[in-house]
Amino acid sequence: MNKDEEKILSLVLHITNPVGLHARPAALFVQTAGSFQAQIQVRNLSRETPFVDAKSILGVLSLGAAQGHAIEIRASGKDAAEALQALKQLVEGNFHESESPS
Amino acid sequence: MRARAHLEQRFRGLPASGGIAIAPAFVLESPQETLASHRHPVGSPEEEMARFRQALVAVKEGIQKQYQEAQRRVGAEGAAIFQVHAMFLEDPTLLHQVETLIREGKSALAAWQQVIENQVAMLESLEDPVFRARAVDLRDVGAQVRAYLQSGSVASRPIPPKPSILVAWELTPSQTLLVPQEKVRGFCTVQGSPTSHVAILARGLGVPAVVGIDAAVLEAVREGALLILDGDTGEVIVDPEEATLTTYRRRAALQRQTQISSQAHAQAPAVTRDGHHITIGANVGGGGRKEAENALHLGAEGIGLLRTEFLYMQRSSPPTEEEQREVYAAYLEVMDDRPVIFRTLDIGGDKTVPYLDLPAETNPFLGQRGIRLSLAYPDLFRTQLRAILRAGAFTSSVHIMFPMVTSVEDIREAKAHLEAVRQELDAQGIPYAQQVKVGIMIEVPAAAIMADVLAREVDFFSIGTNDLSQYTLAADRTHPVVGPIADALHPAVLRLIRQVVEAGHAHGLWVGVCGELGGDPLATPVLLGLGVDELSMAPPSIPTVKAVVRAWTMEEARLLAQEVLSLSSADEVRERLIQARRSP
Repeated sequence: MNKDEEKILSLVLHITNPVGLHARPAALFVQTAGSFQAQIQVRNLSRETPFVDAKSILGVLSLGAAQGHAIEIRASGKDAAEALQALKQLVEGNFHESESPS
Repeated sequence: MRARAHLEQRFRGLPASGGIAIAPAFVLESPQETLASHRHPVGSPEEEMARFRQALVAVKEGIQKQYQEAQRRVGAEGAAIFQVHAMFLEDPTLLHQVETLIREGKSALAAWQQVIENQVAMLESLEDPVFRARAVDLRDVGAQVRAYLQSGSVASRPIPPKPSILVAWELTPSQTLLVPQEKVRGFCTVQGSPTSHVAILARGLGVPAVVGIDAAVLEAVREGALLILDGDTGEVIVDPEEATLTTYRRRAALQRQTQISSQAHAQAPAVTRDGHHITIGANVGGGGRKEAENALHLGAEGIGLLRTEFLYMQRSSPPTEEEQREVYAAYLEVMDDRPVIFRTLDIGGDKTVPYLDLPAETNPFLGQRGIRLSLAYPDLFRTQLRAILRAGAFTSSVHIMFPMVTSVEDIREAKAHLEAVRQELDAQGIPYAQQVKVGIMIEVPAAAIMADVLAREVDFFSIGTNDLSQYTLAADRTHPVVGPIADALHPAVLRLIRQVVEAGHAHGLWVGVCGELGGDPLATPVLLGLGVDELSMAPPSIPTVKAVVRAWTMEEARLLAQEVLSLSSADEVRERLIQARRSP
């Protein structure tokens, strides 16, 4: 049993973009997660939801992650570290969104 | 003279995209309709699995085409929803659930139906209306797969014989694309909100849309019946009489003319027919120099509301004093000597920032927000005040306004910080703005009611009608059911505005309106008549509002204001204002 593959890495991020994790941002999040082999899960700490599969669009939408919420992402497997890094960049880079209409 | 076959009927919904459309109705079927009784024998799990996979491939291809079509029509942002649709069909949880049911012996259709209903119910149970709205999308995709499983082909494309207004219970994103763009003159739905996909698409296409219309409209509309759709007022008229048609055709023509001419006259001041000038300002924040230049180009005489939240959001630490000073100075520079009203940080409640570690509130609108938050974080507050004062060092145009003020204590405490900051800057020998005018947003009912007392403490008032309406009418404007109650045209809100204006004027203050009502051309004559001195709005509204001001005399406006204040509901007020509209 390869010890590296058993390790679970996790990360807490804050959603700062105005519309939260829905529609386009959620799609980007799931696409990014889906490009890695690692098993990735995410939960909404602010709403105290259980962990959902980060590669499931319905799962991610069900988190109801709005602006200001904190999410926890955990990953395990070969490219877990890269996966977390990519998701961190995506969330902190504000999903490349321009300012949304108020 | 021919007898009329059908009587004119009028309905009212929520305006979702502006403009007037006069065209025949084209009624679209809702994807909600029950399954046909068509049944075929259930095959073996392998056969059903193959059927299911085939449906997924076909529908995914269809969605890909929809995505491209939408991109062509409204660009990447508006088309993004189709990416989500495609991802529903790749969702591992969804697929796993369907496949499990198929292996247990259910048909692909039944399995799909069951799983979709569960997931739709899950989405509909979410509190946030934005997330809840995704249930429509899932139903949309669900219906497409179901249609394929039933008929073996993707949904057919209904083509209206001539350019029409699409009418439906609900328009899902894919449905809005079913009809070729050049055949669409407007949208009218029972469901939906001004922020839903239909509204976004309509605005992108530049056609009117009305949502939240009375379901009775679906009974009243026969295929091909002539409709008038007014996307500015939310009115829908079925089988209009000749006289009505003439009025609206004229209005539509004038609207087109006005757009062209008001752009041309945007630079001139807003002066009534009898020579009374009302100041027109712009609501800005986040767009920097370009935004300010654009506002000037559209005719702004100053910035009536500079929102400062954009500096604080979307980052993991607060902005430094220097960062802020630079941004504020850019706006002041572009505006030259014209007044710029800085609203201090208005966050809290539903707008939060990670670095302040604010606890979740059960009632964010009634919580620690606006000035309350600033007073609880004095370092943050003073840094902002320093930045504003320093940015305005060699100008006389700086105004500072505090949001969410409830009491005299709020004002005195805030001004004490301002005074402390002045003394700091003096001691440090740093130049700063000398003739700063200090005012407050009137958005809490208590502040409106006590305006005479608060007027002694400040130089001006600016009325935030959005929040004032919500608090006064006790309704959340984003709520899917009670949202329409929070209508700024309600006489209760207008009476409060009158009270604030009178109190302000009695103490020598000027009173402005910076909420959405300020930019609503329908409300302009009332606000004029109530004695409001300044209207600040999103820049695109400036030319039209100025044009409306020029169509009235103060006496006429006062009479109108007096009249509407005696009415009993927002609907009555709106009716009266629509009647009183002057085609500028």
